[in-house]
Amino acid sequence: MAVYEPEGYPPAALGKNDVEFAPGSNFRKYKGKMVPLINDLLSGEYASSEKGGFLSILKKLPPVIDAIHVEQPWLWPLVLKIKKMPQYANACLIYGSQNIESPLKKEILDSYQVKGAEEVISDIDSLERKAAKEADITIAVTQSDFDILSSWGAKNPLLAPNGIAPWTAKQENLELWKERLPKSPWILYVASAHPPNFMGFNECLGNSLACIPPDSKLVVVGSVCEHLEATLSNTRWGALNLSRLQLLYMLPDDDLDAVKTLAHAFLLPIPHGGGSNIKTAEAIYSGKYVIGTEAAFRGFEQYLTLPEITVARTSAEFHSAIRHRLCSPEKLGPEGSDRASRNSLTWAESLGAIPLAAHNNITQKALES
Amino acid sequence: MTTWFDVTTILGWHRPAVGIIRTEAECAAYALTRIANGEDVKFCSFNGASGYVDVSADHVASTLKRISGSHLAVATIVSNQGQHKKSLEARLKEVALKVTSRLPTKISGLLYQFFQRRRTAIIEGVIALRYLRSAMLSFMKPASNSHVVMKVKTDLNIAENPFSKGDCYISVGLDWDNKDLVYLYKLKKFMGMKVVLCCYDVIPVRLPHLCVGDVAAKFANYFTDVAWCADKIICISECTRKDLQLLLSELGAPEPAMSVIKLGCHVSQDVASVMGPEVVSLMKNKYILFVSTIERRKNHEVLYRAYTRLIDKGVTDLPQLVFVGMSGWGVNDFLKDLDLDPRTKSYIRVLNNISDSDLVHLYKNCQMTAFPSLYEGWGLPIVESLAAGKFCLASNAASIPEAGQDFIEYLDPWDVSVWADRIEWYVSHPDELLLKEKNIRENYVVTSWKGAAVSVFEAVESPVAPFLKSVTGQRDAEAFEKRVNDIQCKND
Repeated sequence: MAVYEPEGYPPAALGKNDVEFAPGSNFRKYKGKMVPLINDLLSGEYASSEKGGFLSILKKLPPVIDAIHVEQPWLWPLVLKIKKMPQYANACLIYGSQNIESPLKKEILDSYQVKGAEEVISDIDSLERKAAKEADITIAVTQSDFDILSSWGAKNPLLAPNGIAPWTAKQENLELWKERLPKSPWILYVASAHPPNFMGFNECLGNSLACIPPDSKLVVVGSVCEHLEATLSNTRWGALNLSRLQLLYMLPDDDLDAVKTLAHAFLLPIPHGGGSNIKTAEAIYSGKYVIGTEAAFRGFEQYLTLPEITVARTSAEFHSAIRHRLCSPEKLGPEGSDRASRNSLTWAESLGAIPLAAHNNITQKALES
Repeated sequence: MTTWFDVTTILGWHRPAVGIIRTEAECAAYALTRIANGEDVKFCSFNGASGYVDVSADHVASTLKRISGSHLAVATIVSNQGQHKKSLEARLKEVALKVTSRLPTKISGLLYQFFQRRRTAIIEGVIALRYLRSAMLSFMKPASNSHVVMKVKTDLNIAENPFSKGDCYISVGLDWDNKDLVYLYKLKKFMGMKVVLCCYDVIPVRLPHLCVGDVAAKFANYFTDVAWCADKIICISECTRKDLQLLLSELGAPEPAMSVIKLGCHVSQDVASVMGPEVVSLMKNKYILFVSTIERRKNHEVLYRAYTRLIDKGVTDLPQLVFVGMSGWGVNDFLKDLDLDPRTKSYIRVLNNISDSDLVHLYKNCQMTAFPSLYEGWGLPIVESLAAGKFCLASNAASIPEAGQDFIEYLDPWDVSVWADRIEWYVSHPDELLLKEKNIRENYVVTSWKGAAVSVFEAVESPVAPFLKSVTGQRDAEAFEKRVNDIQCKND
């Protein structure tokens, strides 16, 4: 079940249990004021209010709930409201934190020069702490998040890094994309339109893509494309940057699998932000060269010793690493990358501890009652 | 291993050789001597339709003749036909007088008055007709421009080229207009060629506000591609080398090996005895000479302001200030000032279309030269001044001190007061100027064009870093190797 903004999701992306948070809803105001970029926070009040989406949500709930797993803290007010209902009082509450949201939200609001958002940030901080404290199981995706959630009093914290679904590209898609993409080694950036994915790009790459060889490209996939194009063209080296850019926009999964398989290297230019990045997990799992910031590798520190991975701290290091990798052979050694050591990146491995912990909690509650 | 010298630019050039054309032509002339000595040197050119093609030595020799009349070393001996030939106005006047003299005086008087009042319009009309004829000819016979690269980038086949593995390719021409550097980069990788390119300056990127249009974007792309293609970049001054390195570092492009050469200079001693009337009239006076296109970067304005300051101060024995050069972009207001300012009207002269021969006369007879440019990749007017034995008051910017060494005096190009002071001082101390000229005569060594061409070919022969180190940068490559080794050691 998701509480979603209809302006951000096409009908095809919706499930039958999803609940719309309409643009005209009064709940889109924060304490009577319009504050941009906080619909996630506002969705909690909407979902838990009878004047909002609660009654609609209630109709979709099954008669018995063993566990409620909520991703991010936004819907925690809804979780608590459901839990107060007698029939759901024994449900095991699982809070998947994904990020420490308050500093991240502050960074986003500051970057858009949204004034007077201190109260919003304070509310998010309180919400996160409350969720961590009240959940039966609290899940962190990075060690640093784990430490923070533990310090907030999480009863049963678990570290479950983001993982990936292994992919295999179809041969016909590989052939098709091989024709469309540069013949020389090229580097791939896959990202959504989430602001940190493009606002920090120039900070990482120093406004210039001159590090890409003349016969190669930075290939970009995802909704970040149009934002990145604007970001890169709005610099002194705009024409140069556009000559090195190939934008593929949103791709169906089959095509994306082919593009990821054909890439020579992956770029992770995420200068800030918490949590761990699924795109990082995919890049590492690919066995290709990966060049990223320290922040991009958060939660995957154990993989930094792999020879194909480069952490770049400055734009000069990014430039140098990209030049080096795009002129290096496809494989570092005759065997290529070691796939077995990357298996822990799959969802099956990374999330394995959660159902086990939930089962224990549910059993324990059953015994107690 | 064959050394290929690219002559694309001169094959498409149909005017006298200047600047970059001169460099390519002189190097081609030198390459011909190496071929004559049995060395493995060949010529090639590029066009968008067929890529690189072999060019015969005979074709290059005839091209050099076409450009200069004979071997380049004597190319500055300019035919003075243009100067001797009567002007269009004089010839029209002659024809008109011939016709009217046969008419009755009354009618001829009326006709004379009629045409006299419309003289400018008639002359401009005839000039316009000539341009129209020239444009029609160029339109109808575009074949004369067959060597100019087509702008449409074609998907050229890199397997079809005249080069062999391990060959060396040199280009010092107008590569931003005439070449496809993406293709050259692919070719270099495919053939395993060594590529040597040239950088004359980074002005379009460093000072785009002083250039026509938004050239920074185009040239950033060009310099980046040059950096990727070249195993070595020849720069025409240490300043250009440093500025290019800074630019490539800022862009994050590779930093290939770079070497610095000195461009040649040839001020002919063999000049025509007949001078143009403008030059003849100038010779009667003392004058300071400034040879350069009139454009904002060249900073003619500081000299104009220095003169106005001196005149306002009451200095009356100032020499004339002679600007020799075409007027370029962005100086209309300045030229208008020169035209209208009554203080400087009798002091400042602007000359255009001066023959090389007259230019030599102007250099030889000036009191001194001035060169207040805001930025240069080298500073050819400085070395021409020195080759003519003349002292120069020059800007201290960019490469200019490299060109003038210790023979001339350098001033802040923005400081009007200091220019006014030093001009006044040298004008009132002619003995000091004579001492300076003596020092130049005795100690200044002119770089020959052959010497410059030899330096270009020597740059090819010196070793360059392996490709990976070249694109990554030496220090970066070492750091990478160390990091990978460290990781492998840890893993072991």
